[in-house]
Amino acid sequence: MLGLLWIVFVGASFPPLQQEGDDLPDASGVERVRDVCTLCHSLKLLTQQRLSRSVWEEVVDDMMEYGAPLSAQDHHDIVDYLSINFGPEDTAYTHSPIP
Amino acid sequence: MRDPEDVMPDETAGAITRRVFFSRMRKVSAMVALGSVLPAGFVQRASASESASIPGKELLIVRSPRPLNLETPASLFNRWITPNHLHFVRNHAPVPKIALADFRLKIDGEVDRPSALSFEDLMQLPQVTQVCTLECAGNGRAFYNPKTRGNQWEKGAVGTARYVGVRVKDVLAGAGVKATAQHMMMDGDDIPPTPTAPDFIRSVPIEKALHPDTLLVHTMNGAPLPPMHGYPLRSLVPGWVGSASVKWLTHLSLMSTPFPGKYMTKSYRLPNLPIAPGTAVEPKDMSVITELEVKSMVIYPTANATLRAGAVQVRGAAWAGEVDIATVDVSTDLGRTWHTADLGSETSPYAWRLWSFQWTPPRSGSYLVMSRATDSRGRIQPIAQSWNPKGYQWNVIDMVRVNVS
Repeated sequence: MLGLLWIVFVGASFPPLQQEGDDLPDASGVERVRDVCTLCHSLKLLTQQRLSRSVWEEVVDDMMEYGAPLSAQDHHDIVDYLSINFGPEDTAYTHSPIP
Repeated sequence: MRDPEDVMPDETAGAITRRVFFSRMRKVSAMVALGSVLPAGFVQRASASESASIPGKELLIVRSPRPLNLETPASLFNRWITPNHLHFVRNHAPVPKIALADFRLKIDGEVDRPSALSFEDLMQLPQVTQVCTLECAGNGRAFYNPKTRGNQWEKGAVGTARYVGVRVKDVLAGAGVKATAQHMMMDGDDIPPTPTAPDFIRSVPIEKALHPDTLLVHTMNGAPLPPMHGYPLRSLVPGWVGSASVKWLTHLSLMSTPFPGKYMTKSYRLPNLPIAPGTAVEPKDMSVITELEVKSMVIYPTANATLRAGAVQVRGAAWAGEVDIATVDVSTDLGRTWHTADLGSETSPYAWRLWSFQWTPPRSGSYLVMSRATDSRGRIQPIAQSWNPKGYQWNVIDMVRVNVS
């Protein structure tokens, strides 16, 4: 309960800007990403990343541990959203990225 | 000796209140959002070109405006000392506002006399100047494949500044370090956004803490530490990854074991054995990262530059944690032949060394300019990187693609 109050407090102190995230890919789960992730950090933190589903799962697990107010359904939807829209660009391993 | 009043920052020095700071952050976010109206379903790709400007750091790439994570474009590293407005920033939480009059450095744990020092107390101790290269452990993370979580730093989460401060060993002498003290915990005043998010707290072994070059610094390139660099006091653990040096420092605690927080036990760790790329590794099979690797980067020419035919001065920087750079070699024929670069005259322990190499391309066409550093300990930059789950310590031979017309 104290945790929830804190989140409400933080959310009220630093309200997420309405426009932030308007340029996110419009797909299922986008509202929860926009509303919840921005409570603590910029969306740039996630839009710069391209991660596999298992790593996005790890990330969202960590965020819930740190207090992100997400239901089990939200967790599922957000992992779906992130791994579909911010998944790996290529999966084959190359030994070193030759520019 | 300086008057503590001298280091009270003002608006022009870059110090801003928390309220103004967040108001600015929101404005920056608005600019980002309004400046990039994309069609539905379009995946926005973060790139250097979309950086919104952060007051005092206008030329840096904004990896994240909240918390602040700013990278220096490699093309701007054109001198030995990185000026404050170009120095990278890696923060885990909002920048705290600390009033100098209220500042206290608490010292407790395995000491004979727990104490709390004011800024004035610290200024009474011998003042030491140290030029030091700081590099984020995640610098180069963007080059890993598979990609790893975290800020996608490319080449510029590194910088070199001239710091002034006091030796940790002098600070601790007054408190009396017990024989049971094996590690020194460092905590800053930055507060995570929720009570369950981990606080950024780090510890280093006592030998490193008491080394005469390990400092608590208040001045960066002749100015009070800018707020985003840790005003009024940060630790400087030279030659080690940037995360070992804690900003907004207000608490040292001597411990018999390493600090057990998340930033010691889950982050900033490398696998004990080489692993296949993409493999998950338990934290217990990893160890805390300490010293920086040997590394170099090409600063000029810049990536994808077009050069006219004729001689070109290839320039770069090289660094190696606690030891010196021995040689930097340059190749322009895909590593078939290597040529020794000239090392710059400006040197300091723990600071990068600039280097240059005069190259005359034999004919027009596309080239890779490569740099490879070797340090005084014999460490050399690798051709390929051992992958790790969080993308730390990238130090592959640097390569820049250029076109000669």
